[in-house]
Amino acid sequence: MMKQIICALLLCALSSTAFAQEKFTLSGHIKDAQTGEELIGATLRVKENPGQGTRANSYGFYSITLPKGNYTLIAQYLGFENKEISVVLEKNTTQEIKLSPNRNTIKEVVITETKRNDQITNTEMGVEKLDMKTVNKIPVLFGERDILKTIQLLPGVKSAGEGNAGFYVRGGSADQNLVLLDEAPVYNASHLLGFFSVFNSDAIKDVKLYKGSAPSPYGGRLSSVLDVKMKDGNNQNYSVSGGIGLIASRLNIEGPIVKDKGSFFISGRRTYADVFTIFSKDTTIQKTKLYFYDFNAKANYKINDKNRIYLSGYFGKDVLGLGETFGIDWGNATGTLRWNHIFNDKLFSNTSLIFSNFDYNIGFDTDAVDFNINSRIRDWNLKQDFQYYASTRSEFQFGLNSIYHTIIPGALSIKSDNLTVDQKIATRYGLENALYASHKYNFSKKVNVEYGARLSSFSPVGPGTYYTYDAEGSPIDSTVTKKGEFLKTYVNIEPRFAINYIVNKKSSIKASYTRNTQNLHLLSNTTASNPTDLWVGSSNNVKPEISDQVAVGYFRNFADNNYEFSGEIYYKHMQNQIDYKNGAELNFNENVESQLLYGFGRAYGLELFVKKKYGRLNGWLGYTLAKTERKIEGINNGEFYNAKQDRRHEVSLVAIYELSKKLTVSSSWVYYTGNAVTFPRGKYTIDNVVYSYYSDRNADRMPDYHRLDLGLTWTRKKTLRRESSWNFSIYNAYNRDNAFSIDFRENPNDPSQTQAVQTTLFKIIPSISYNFKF
Amino acid sequence: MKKIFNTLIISALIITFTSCEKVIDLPLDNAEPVLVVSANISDQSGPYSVTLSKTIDYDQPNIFPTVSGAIVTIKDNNGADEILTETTPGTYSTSTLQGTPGNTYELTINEDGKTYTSSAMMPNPINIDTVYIGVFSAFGEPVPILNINFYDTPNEKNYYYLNYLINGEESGDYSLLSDQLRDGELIETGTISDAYEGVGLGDTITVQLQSIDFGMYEYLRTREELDSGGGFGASTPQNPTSNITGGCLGYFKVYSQTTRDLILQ
Repeated sequence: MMKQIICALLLCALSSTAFAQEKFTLSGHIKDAQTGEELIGATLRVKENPGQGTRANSYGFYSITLPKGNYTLIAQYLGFENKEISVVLEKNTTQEIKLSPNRNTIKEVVITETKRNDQITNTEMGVEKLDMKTVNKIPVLFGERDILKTIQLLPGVKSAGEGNAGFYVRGGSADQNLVLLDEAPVYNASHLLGFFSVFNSDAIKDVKLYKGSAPSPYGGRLSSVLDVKMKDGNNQNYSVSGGIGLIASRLNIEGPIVKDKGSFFISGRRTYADVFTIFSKDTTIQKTKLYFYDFNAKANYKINDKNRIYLSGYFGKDVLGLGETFGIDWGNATGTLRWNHIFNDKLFSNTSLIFSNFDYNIGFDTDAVDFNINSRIRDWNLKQDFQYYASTRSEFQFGLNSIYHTIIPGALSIKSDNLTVDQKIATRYGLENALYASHKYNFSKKVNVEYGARLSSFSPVGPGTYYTYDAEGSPIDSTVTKKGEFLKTYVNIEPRFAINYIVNKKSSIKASYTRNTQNLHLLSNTTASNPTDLWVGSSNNVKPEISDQVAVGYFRNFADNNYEFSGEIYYKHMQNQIDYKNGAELNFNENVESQLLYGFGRAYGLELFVKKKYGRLNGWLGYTLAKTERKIEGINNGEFYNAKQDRRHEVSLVAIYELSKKLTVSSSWVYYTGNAVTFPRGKYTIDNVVYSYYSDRNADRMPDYHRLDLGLTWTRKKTLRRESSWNFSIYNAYNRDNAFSIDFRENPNDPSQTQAVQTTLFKIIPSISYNFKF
Repeated sequence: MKKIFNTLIISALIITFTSCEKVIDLPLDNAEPVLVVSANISDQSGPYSVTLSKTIDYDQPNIFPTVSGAIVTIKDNNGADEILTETTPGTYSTSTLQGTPGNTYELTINEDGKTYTSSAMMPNPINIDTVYIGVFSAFGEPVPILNINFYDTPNEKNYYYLNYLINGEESGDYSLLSDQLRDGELIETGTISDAYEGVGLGDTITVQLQSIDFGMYEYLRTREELDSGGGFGASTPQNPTSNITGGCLGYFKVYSQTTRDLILQ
């Protein structure tokens, strides 16, 4: 059936080009005139026929094919002045388009900018794009601007809670989000157990989040794709920028390698949270080490008009130590080497070689014993992607992806006078392959479709010994694979389909269906995101997770496209979901797979979103109504129970107001239903100890969470080259006692009674930072 | 390991940042009372006892109702079968039964129209090889450590519960072990606990080495998870996995025991 549809559509696409009049292609890059940075997603429309247009890809490349003739094209990008280009199209033409940033945003936006109605015309749904300028204005904890915290203000995206940079998308768990930094998967996107994310916003150019209906070039996780792209660097002038904040400072250097041909960007950030520990009276605390740092670097060079290479890397680490005795560090490293090749004005190719690594080390060093644990996940990843711009109505994307995973679950070494132990849990290897194709097609002025499929496979690769387990969790049988031998291969086909029906210029209805599979699973039975959480690949015991999501949405623009409204409903069914046996031991356990239970999950919800993109006041209001449940044999008597990320209501309100050219105030307010938790339903005594009695899993709720943050940005100086600003922010402005955790304890005044004690992590926190650029 | 790690990182963070605690009024849903069973039989001389009580609502004072009038029987695979007599309210005792290693024991409780059963084999006793006090130095300060060594029985799965007494009184400290990854080897274990603070010359520490089966080990292991408390980094709390079927809380502990005294000199 699917095949027939694809054939029919292909025929349509081909026939429409075959019988038309003589056509030519205009292609090139769309760039920032000032820095030379490519503008991802900038649009190009034909003035004479506003229905026709294209959009720059992730490398700023565009291609548009039109009948021979004279045209005026309008290039647009948010925050930039529109540019009209007159073209005489008599042959295939290459044209570089440079846009200038809006200097006086207040006036010009209102008067000159034609507001785009992209959200009405494109097929994308469940997609959020963050404007880095907005991110930088939203007030955050300790003034550390953070894209992960900002996306949590969008509907359908839930914060995993304070002290946790993890996020939940449409009822999925935190490990079901694919977090990419320049295409490289980032396995642990948080610092300091999640208080900050690894993304230094100074180094970030573009952020896009797909909440479940990601096109087929993306795959490998069930819930979402967070695609983060690093800045390429200014290829016109050298520039230094940075910031000094309460707990961290940043410094960035960028400039041309060869003017107009290549540029570099280097950025560093380090926190100094441990500075405060010096003031402590306790000598052990004084010796506490607690910091993290990030280092981003990127360079690109245009070899000629057809070829360009990019090299980018990230390296970050967290270090925690107590005195000389105990230390732990963990961090990510990624590297991406890319080659853009333009075969011809219609066919764009990108080849990427990608490296990702996450590891942690724990050291415990005493007079008597030296104790060390380390663990690692490492990927080598090759991607080949083609984009073919067949016509203004038809665009193809296809390619392949191959990832080789190496997982060292844990290596332990103990050294003492009379004992030396070197124990290693067997390293696991896995090969993940995917072939994909996707086609965007405008049936008519009213109907657009995007459909495709991803054929994915995962094979656990030897050498390895794979066990099966009895009910007690003891191994009963094993299969040994030799080096390079596949234990088995899981193959899945993942169809993706999205349709957009444009009702009129102001409104459209969209629907989508997406299947995703996931072969890497994060084992974490705690409420926090620990660096020591373990990644495991699919095996004989762990099956690939599969999700099917359908979504329907209504999109409408108001007041001359000044306001965007969207309403989406979704239903998601998830197979082979993982939970844990009672008292599961996940760390340093050779037979960790014996501790797992499997079942399925479902999630459904409604998301409403109103956004104002233009003018002195902008911001958004989001509301989510959602439910997510799991049904797993061995938990809650095999009945449905609330997943821990289940929250009924969630509201977020963000407002940014430009008081004057120099002063911008901002605020954000969030409200959400407390997480699903298990509270005691009674108590009992056994062996002279009083214990809590629990019944239904996750049937209780933490208290509701709400918080207001305020911010003020004062731009002292702003010229073409120089800029300096102060940023003041207040986190939790009305000093709400939000519950981080609730413990049940004996009442110290009356040991025969028990009481609930709530811990609040962050009360009101003011902070200040200074940012500069020259 | 994870617990040490969490505790350290959290204490560091909490010291560094702001955080506060307060007692809140949290209305909790109540549940139907559930039977709580504590049943023991060992190779030591009897009588052995089974105590029954019920859960209470969370906001009630800690007065736990005992359960009277239940029918409690224990039988073994050699034909011994005894109905226990209620000696004090909620406590049921054997009169003739003698626990023997290698026998399988079956517990049946009939209470309020419901039946609860459990069955377990009594493992063979294991002799303690050595007990001594050593010094463990961590974080710069030497701490006394109670070391216990014994030989595991090879080619079978073994589970151990070590109970420690100070001058004949329960110390509150214990160890729970399995022979995983060290089958048939000399098992060297040690314990450091505040329970031994103030213990000095002339005091006697008694080590009871109890051999238990997997079901009892799982019960104790999952109960230990609750002892370590909730808070940051805690997993979803669950009732310990009982080795008694029928929907009650508690355990049927079938064990053999050897003892060693250490007099501090």
